[in-house]
Order: sequence, then structure tokens, then C-alpha cells
Amino acid sequence: MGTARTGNSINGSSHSSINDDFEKKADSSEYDQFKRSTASESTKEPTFFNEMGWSATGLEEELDEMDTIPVSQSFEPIALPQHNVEAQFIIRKHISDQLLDSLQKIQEHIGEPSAAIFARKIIELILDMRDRIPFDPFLDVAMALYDALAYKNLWVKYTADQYKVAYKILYRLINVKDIKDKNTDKAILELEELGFNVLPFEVSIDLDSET
Amino acid sequence: MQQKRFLDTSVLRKLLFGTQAYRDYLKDQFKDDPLFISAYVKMEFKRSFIISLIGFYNVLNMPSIENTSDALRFWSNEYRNPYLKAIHELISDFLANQNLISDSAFDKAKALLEIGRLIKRYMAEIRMKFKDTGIDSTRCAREQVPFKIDRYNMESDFEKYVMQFKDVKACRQKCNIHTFLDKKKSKIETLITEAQKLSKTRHTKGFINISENLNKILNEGYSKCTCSMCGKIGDAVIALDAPTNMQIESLDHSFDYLCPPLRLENKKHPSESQLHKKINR
Repeated sequence: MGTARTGNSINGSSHSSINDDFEKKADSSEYDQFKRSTASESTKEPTFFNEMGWSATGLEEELDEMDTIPVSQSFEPIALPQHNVEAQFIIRKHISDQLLDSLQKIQEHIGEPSAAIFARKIIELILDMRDRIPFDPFLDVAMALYDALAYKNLWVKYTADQYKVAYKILYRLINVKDIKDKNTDKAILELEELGFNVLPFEVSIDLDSET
Repeated sequence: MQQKRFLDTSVLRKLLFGTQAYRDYLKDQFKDDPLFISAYVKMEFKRSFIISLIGFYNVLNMPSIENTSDALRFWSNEYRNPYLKAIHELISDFLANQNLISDSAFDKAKALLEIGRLIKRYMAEIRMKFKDTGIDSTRCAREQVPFKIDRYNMESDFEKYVMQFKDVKACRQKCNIHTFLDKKKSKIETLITEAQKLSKTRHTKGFINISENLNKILNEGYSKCTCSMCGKIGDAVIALDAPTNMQIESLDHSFDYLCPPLRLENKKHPSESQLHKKINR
């Protein structure tokens, strides 16, 4: 239905430009004759509406009004990729191997600018995982780690020991096919207790000085 | 020796989404002391924050909102209440960190899922990070509404949660606020007497309003204490139900007047702007 409305609008505008060209090019008398003939055809020709005793006039007006409805109202929600547990597990394993590798390597570069190479890899791999297997429960933990690292470049603040334990926390979950919420909640809390700021988002508005 | 600290909702909010400077200040104050919250404080946090976050999820989920930029613009134009402005600030910060503020409909779909994840993370945080006082005299039914969110059914699960949380009629029928207030009647009368001695200023206004509402409940009967009325006397409920062996940590002026008559220790923390002025001095 939405497409039809959009189509009407497009057809309507293209018709008018064709008519403009026609008016410019054609002789005025020929054009008048053409207009009269098409008008008479449309009134004389029996239509489905006429046969049924209905008037199409109201419908035409309604369709004209529909032309003014913006295209955005025909918006269809986009579905994210969904996989079964097996496929999700395979993709997770594939990306996580590189993720764990970077979590290990960053420990050797802490305090040096070269740590940025592995921090960037960790961040990009988690985002890649989010795009490929958005519904994987493992991502609850991975995204918490992402927020703790990516926010205001906090990755630079953490120590090698913290990355080491983060590695262990992720490693423990990576091989679990069917991860439960209680496992992800526990892992996120462990990351936080380790010092990772998994909820770094800030509100500066004073909400509490009124009462 | 460790000090047991009982957090009011205002301090809980600062710990979870205050500025980094404020969180650093609180960490410095609390050190390794055990931090407690009660079921009623959890409910207040959910009422003011979690329900509003789900509200943003629902706005973004509208078919007429094509992307996250539109949702943020819509929220900023329509909602001026400070709590809802705070949600705008927090969500903007969150979506920007995940590179999801854009005109893309695909990013909208990703943002919906990630906001859902964020809400779950906050809910797990208040459930697991803080110790429970173990005192739940009001037995608030809104706090007991189950929060079960399936990643594949977030939309309907959030709807179910909000509908149950907002069903104040059903929740009020299940709670125990009337018995609680009846048991605390003499303490409530003391608070009312104290409030009558004060003149209304910017600092006393909150406490006086609470005592006026407590007075109304005493005069009209405890059964008249609806969820909306309960919200107006929230600080008094928290103070009346606070463990006596803990120090109440708060930002609200009202606790300066609620705690002394109830013989409770109270630590009043500065507002965000007061703290920043202090730091910049």
C-alpha cells in the first residue's frame, strides 16, 4: 500500500512534466483536441466503479491526498541477522579467537602507544561480532567490555593484570554454547569488580538538589 | 573500622550514571565500606530511571521514527522534565560510544537491541552490586514485578514489564504500606511536629512538603496512600525503614530534617554543581 502511494506521487509528477513538454511542443489546437478526446473517453468508458453504481470521484480525491503523505510513513523495520545456536557458536568462536589473541597481546604493550593497535582490534572485533551475531548472549559481556574500553579511550587506563583477568572471564564463556543470563550478569559484575567501567555513561544534570 | 552505608536513591543514581568526577568523589568517600540499598530504593530507581529508559526504547521503536537521530531529536523536543532530559544525555552518550547515532535504519535496529542490553545491565547492577538491607517493610509490589527480557522478544517483554509496573491499582492492593505507616505512626507524628516548627525555605521545602503529605495520610486514613502519594513521601519511607546501624548517604536536603528526629546518622553529599565549584576553586 505504501509503495502504491509513493508510486502515485512519482507518476503524478512525471505526468505533469510530460504534459508541460507536450504543451510547449504541440500545436495548441491539436493539444486541445487531444485533451477533449481523452476527457470524453474517461466519462463514456464503463468502469468497474460505474458498473457497480459507485463513484470514483471520492477515491480519486483520497488518492490525491495520499500523495502528500511523506515517504517515511511507509518505513519498514529492518531485521537484524538471526542464527540458530550452532551457527551463532561457530561465528562466535571464529571471531573470539582473534579477540582473545588481541587481549593477550595488549598485555605486553601496556603503557606504550603500540597498545592502541590491539585496543583498536579488540574494539573492532566486538563491533564485528555485534553486526554478525547480534543476539548472541556472549555479546552481553563483550559489549560491556567494549563500553568500558571505547568510552573516552578508557582502554589506556587499564593494567596488564586487568586485561589478563578479562581474558579469563571471556575465555570461560566463549566455549559455552547456550549461555544463560545469570552467567552473563556474573561475568559483567566480575569485569566491574576488576575495575572495568562497564557503565561509564554520564549525566551532568543535577536531579537531586530540589528535595 | 568499616562503616555500613545505606544509599538513598539520589546517591545510587550518582554512582551509576553521575559524572566521572562525582563517582570518583563517592568512591573516595566510601572506600571499601559495604554499600547497602533497600527494596524501596530499588523501586525508586526503576520508577525514575529504568521506566524512562524503556520509554526511549519505545520511542525509537516507533515506525514513524526512522533512525536514532530522529529519536533523540524527538525526545529532546517533547520531554522537558529533568529526569527525561537526563535520559537524553545518557542515551546520547551511550549511542555515540557505540557509533549508533546516524540516519541509518539499520543502526536503529542495532540501537534497539543495544539499549535493551544496557537496560538489562543496569538492572543486573542494582540486583547484584549492592548488598540488600534485608528490610522490606512496605513490601512494595512494583519492586517485585518480574523483569525477564528475552533478546528476541524485547519489545513485548518490556511492554509487559511496564504495564505491570504501571498497574498501580493492582500493585497497591498487594503492598503493605498501610500497615507500615500504622506501625510508624508515632514517629510520623514526631516528623510532622518538627516540620511545623520550620519556615519554608529552599532547604526545608522538601521536608515540609513530605510532612504535609504524611499529615494528609494520617487524617484521611492509610488506605488513601496511593502509589502516587507514596512517591511524594518516598524520602520519609526510606528513612523510616532504614537500618539503625547504618549511615544514610544522600544528596537530598530532606534527610537533614528526617534523620535527627529518627536518631539516624546522615551524610549529606554535595550536588553535582557544588562539587564542581569545590574542585575548580
